Amino acid sequence: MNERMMQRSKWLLLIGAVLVVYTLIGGLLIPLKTGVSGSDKLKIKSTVTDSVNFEIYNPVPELFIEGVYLSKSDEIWKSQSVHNFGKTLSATFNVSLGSQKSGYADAFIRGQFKGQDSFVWLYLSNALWIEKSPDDSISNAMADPSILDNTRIIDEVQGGFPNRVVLNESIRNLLYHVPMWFSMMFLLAVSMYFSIKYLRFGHLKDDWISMSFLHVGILNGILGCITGSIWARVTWMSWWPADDPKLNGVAIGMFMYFAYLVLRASIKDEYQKARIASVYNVLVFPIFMALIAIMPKLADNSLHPGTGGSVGFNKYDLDNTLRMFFYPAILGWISIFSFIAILRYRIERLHQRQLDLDNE
Amino acid sequence: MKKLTNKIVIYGALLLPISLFGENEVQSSLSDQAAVFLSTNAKYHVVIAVLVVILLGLVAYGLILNRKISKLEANQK
Repeated sequence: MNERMMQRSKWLLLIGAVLVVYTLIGGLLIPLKTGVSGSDKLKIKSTVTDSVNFEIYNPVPELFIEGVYLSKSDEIWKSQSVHNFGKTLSATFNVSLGSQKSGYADAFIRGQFKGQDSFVWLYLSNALWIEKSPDDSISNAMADPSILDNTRIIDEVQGGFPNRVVLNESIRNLLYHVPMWFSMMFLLAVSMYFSIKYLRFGHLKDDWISMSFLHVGILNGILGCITGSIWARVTWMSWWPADDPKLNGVAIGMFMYFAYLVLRASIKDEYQKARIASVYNVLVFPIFMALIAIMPKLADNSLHPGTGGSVGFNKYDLDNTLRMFFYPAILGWISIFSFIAILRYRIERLHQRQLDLDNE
Repeated sequence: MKKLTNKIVIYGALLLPISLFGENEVQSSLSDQAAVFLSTNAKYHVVIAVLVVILLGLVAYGLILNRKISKLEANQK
């Protein structure tokens, strides 16, 4: 990192600020797509006519609901009637399972946008438990189960951020929570690079750069924990779900980096401090990455997407509308925090030079 | 040692909100009510405006700090 680069670091801040303002405005103003957030019943009985109310999130008048379909083990049952009350959709079912056993059925709410030929569906996983009655012997499932094959997911037709069960409006936090971790990983990687550089060439300035990036990286980690904790409270009803491997990995990793601060503060000799801290930093970074990125993937279950048995954001949830803001948010926050880290280094360098001048 | 204490206090203060909230139950409809209130009163724009002003204030502070440090560096040389 040369002088010229540091003098121009304000551009990092300005570019980052423009990107973050863009994501801030767009991220809050883009509406959420229509979705189905739940139903008033958890269970219906087969061969009995039963009415279920589905809660529609962010309904739009342009969407005409044609019917509700229950899907279970490759068979589909259509609702007998539907009544749309805006935020509530009432559907009546009379399901006969036939040879199938009791179990959960997914709900597909099929509709059509005004002026468009194609149909779209809203999806609710494991929407209803169908309890099999003793007199249920002949299935009344639809003869043509391929009806949903010709229907597109609403995300492909409607504009806006993806509407996902449980997440709802909180999906906007993706633009703040995830970039904090990306930024942290970037800063810690830079920190490790300069630690290696110090160990190789022995220039103290490399150690100061490493320390500055690491400090700001820790700040990023704390901000990631705070934004994640708020998000977890909204979606998982807990500030810190203790059984999630990713969260435990992050907690251990953060404490390892807190130990770095203690280690540095405990040594007085500048060169010895720099050498030991650099060795520690080079050792800790791969362990930290393993704790937050590799271990959660090996775990059986995790609440986080893309870890344990859950699918990644990228697969279903991160559509193009969200990508338009997500990637600029990552670049923006990395730029801003890199600027802060460079500023932190320059202050440290000033401080050290002043100490040298005082000693002379 | 003083520097370390300061750091621990700062990082501790940042983590404090998480521990303070604990596991208190909040009515599940609270977020819905807030969303309805914000949308019906068109307050989203106020929220965005406040956030943008705060961010721009921080950016301005960063630029001022940058300039001050550049001056100090020039003086030191």
